[in-house]
Amino acid sequence: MKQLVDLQQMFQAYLLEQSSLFETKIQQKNLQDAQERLAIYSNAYVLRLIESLSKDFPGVLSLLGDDDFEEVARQYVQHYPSRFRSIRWFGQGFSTFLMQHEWYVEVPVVGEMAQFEWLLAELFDAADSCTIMTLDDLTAIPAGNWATMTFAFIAAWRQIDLRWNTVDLWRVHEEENSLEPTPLENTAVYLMWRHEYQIQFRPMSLIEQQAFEHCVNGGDMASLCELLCQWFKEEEVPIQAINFLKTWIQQGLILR
Amino acid sequence: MNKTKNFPYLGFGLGLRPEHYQAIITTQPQVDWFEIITENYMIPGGKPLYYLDKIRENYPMVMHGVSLSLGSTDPLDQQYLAEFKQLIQRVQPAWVSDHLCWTGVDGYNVHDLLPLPYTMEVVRHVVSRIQQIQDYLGRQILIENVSSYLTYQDSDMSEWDFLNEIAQQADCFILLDINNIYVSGMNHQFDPLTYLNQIAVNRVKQFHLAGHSYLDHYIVDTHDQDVIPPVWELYAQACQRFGRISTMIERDDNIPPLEDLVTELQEARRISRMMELETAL
Repeated sequence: MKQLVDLQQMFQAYLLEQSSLFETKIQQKNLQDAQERLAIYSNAYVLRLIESLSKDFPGVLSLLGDDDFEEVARQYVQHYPSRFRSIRWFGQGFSTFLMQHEWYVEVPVVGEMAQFEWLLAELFDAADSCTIMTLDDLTAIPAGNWATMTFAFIAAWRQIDLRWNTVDLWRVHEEENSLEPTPLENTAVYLMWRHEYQIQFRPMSLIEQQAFEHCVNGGDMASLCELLCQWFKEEEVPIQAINFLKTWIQQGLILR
Repeated sequence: MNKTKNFPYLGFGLGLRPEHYQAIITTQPQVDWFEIITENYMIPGGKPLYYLDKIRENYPMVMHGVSLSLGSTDPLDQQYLAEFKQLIQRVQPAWVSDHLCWTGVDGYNVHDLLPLPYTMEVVRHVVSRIQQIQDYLGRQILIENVSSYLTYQDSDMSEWDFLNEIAQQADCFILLDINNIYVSGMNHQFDPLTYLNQIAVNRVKQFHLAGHSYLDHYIVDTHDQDVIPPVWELYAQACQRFGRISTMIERDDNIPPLEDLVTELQEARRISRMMELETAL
């Protein structure tokens, strides 16, 4: 089997590192014939992966333009060969790669867009949640149980900090009159989730973020109310807590 | 192994593609069955699985993988096999298939269907892996001939002998891709009919049809065009040799509206019927 092991490693090295050792391993009329035949594989290898990235990151493609996108995608292919069984996951490290890339480290909107788009991809096929809580379920809970009530959230939610008008840019990325990338005055925290197979996203206030994080980490209603006391008068706290809860339930974020 | 000897004749099918999900549900097209790309549904949830289940309610399905890497020298991916088996339980396919190729070594996946050297040593290697897979799944699989653009110095037998030998020794079946025979024939200067006529009749359970593209001196299996007349002619010859075999058209790029593929499938029906009549006479 050693012969096959060596052969496969050489072929793969040709694709991944352009090693020319493999050329002698194939039948050929002449060197040009061998190179043409091998080029079919090496070109297809790179182009297939670049195409996969362009499908997962259309907003990044729109920001960079075709040529720059292809160049940076080619570099990503070279530096991070796939170890995934499905090409669907190949772009997993693309946002980090862009954030650290010498061309884009000073243009963080590019990496931020990639991060946003990868979360969209993750939500697209994240696990389903069959038993979503309704407001009727909530009202059916005996009042005596409310204080100790905790919540389980769906699997298909993510959170992202945005420092640029990334969401607006993404919304118009297919249009001809594109927006200029602009930094936001303050960092916006977006909640992203999938409800009934549709991906949703919206900004969250600082208070909602804290409340959401608290509940996601298993905090009960009583401790949520204590948390909210730092922003609201005592008599307003229960209604604020309920309002958050109602919003999350109506948006399909909490399990029954 | 508790083998599933029953491979029903399914008729004429198409590859299930996301672009057609809604049209399939709305129009219930005259397609006898669908073939899914296995890896596209080895995911936690979301729309693809929703549509998969909805469409499965009304159509038979088969599963066709691209990452089993039957010929790789890496160990078989046990995690992959476990998820594969889970998906089989969900889909209840008529059969499952993958390619007679390798897709990477040392943990990498180049996401391509790379050819193997045609030697008896490689036959033994692939047979052993197919047997392990069949034992694990409790069912026989189909293996598909791939298009190729190179021949290894090490190869000392023909591709058709290699394919037959593996199918025979592993006791698996063959998914014969008619377009791939044509493409490889053009790229390696052999007569596609020679290939076709050497394949063991009792091993073939499915045909693939597809289009391809021309690149300089070679033909590339791109699945982005209609099936061309010489491939239809080869298909007719295949129908004559192998009889009624479940047939499907693969389209993976430049995907046309569903009705165009349904129309193209009619040509396969017409040819198959014509060859059946000819044989009967």
